Amino acid sequence: MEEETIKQQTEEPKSTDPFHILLVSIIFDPKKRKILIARKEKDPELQDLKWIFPGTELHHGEDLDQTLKKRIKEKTGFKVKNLGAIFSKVYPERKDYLAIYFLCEIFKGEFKPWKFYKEMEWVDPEELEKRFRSSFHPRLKEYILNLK
Amino acid sequence: MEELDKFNAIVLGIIFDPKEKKILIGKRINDPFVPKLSWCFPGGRLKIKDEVDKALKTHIKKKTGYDINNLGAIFSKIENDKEDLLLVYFLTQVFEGVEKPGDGMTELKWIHPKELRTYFTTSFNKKLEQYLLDLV
Repeated sequence: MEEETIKQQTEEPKSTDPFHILLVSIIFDPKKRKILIARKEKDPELQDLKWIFPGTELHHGEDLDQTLKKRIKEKTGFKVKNLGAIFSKVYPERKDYLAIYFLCEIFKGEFKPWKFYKEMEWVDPEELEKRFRSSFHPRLKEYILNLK
Repeated sequence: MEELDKFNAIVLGIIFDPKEKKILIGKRINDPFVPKLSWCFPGGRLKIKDEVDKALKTHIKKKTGYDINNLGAIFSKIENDKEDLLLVYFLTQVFEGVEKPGDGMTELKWIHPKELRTYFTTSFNKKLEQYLLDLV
């Protein structure tokens, strides 16, 4: 899976349980046709380092758009324009996590990775799949490969 | 370890007819989450173990009778005054089926995006409205 905040599952959730929400950003540079991804420092709750799309969990009382933009600024150094939701999925590995993906474009700021990011990099859309260790949803992949 | 907040999630379909330039809305009574709701976009609650795309299609089939193609998520918001209710909207198109209101829907109606505002009793998000106006 390509996000950072998912914790190891402790107990099986019930079908009517609510979800944890992750806001995930697809930060796209239309001029260079590249996507921004990052890799976290080693985390005791995650087995190994992996590349992810920058994102954040959502808390009660937070506005989706503002939260996403604020956290992306903190994590990447960039101010982004949120172009809207493009995809949503429940994680096969964690069925009580719902992710909403937003297409974003940078309009200001500088490349400044968050302190917990070991690396941050602009990559070609075609290269993403190689970087992710597990499920890259085919629908999201198709969407990203069609970005111009 | 920090305990994350939890949200109930609703998936909703904007069923768009590109030929007629109309969107399907349904009238429902006694919505468990929003009691004052009357006209709305068809959809339903996402349950743990659901797959988003399948859940959307199942809810829409039950509520409208239609089988739809899901063209993807287009908008998401937290419901006003309900900080733990998350709504995710998908653009969809009918590909088969016979129109039949069900699963709490009492009536279905195809309307132009311009008319949507007059049907919704709850707040209609401006960003979503603009997106739908741009469809036609």
